[in-house]
Amino acid sequence: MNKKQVTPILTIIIVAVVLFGGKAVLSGTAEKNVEIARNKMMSALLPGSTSFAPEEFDADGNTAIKSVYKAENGYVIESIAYGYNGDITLMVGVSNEGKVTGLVVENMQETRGLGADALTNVPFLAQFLLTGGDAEVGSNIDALTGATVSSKAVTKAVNSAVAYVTGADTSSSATEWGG
Amino acid sequence: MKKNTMMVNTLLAVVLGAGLLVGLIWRTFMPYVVLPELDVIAMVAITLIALVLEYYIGGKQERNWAVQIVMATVTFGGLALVAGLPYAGMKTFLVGAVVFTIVTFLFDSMVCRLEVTTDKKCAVIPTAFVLYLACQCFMGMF
Repeated sequence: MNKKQVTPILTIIIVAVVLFGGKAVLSGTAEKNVEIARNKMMSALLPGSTSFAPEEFDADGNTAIKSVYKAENGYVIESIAYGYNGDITLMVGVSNEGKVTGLVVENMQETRGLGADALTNVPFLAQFLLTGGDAEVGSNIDALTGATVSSKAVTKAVNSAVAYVTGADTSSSATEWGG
Repeated sequence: MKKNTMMVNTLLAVVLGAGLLVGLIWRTFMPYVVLPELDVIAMVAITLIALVLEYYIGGKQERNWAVQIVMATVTFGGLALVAGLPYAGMKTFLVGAVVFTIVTFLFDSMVCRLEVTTDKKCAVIPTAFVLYLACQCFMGMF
């Protein structure tokens, strides 16, 4: 091995060891913090509920659903829809009557200043509250400016969550470009 | 005379490692914060930071392209895997290699031009920044 190559190779190995060690040390804390944050978030999304139990569901038949938690007065559902730049993951609270009680965007990589506004734009997200699977961009939902695709993806994810509770079929709700 | 120290690979590992470590700590204590992915734009930024640091620390470098590209590939792909990024995989290795090659070639070409100016030391940072913006605009086309 060339002498000049030793320094970068050693650096890569040291950095890898530090990252691996850091991950191993922090993994327990990370899991605990995820659990605490998730419970806090679910209590806010489904007011009045305190205990949430994971529920089994048909993941193959329902690819829009990532996970389901059952509570006393409804469900909190993690649903996914494809946005402009990858998957958008939402956590949606749905009452037993099939009404949206709260929602939060968990993860997305949409364009900053456009689709990424769905993370924090309260007026946009508030439009979905108390909808019952009938949310539709251009009808009862105003899209984010310059981010129709992202807005449609969020709408589809919310409707999929409601459909899980009500048993409605949402397979035809297009969110693709121009859909 | 130009030196061949492979310093950019050392700096690339340090910059990327620092970024991944910050991300790891962030995800641990604020699990629901949405962090940027290690995508093309992030790789461009990390490569440019390493190249600028290399220029200031070691001056203009001669490249051993084959070895340096292999090391950059291992750095991007390997460290992303070790850090446990959920999307890390073969794509990260390949994209890392392509991004490093193109960005380093473009940066070196620009720095060659800067060598004839009197204020070349100050011009390196704006050059890297403009190159970053150009890559961002280019990616926006897709």
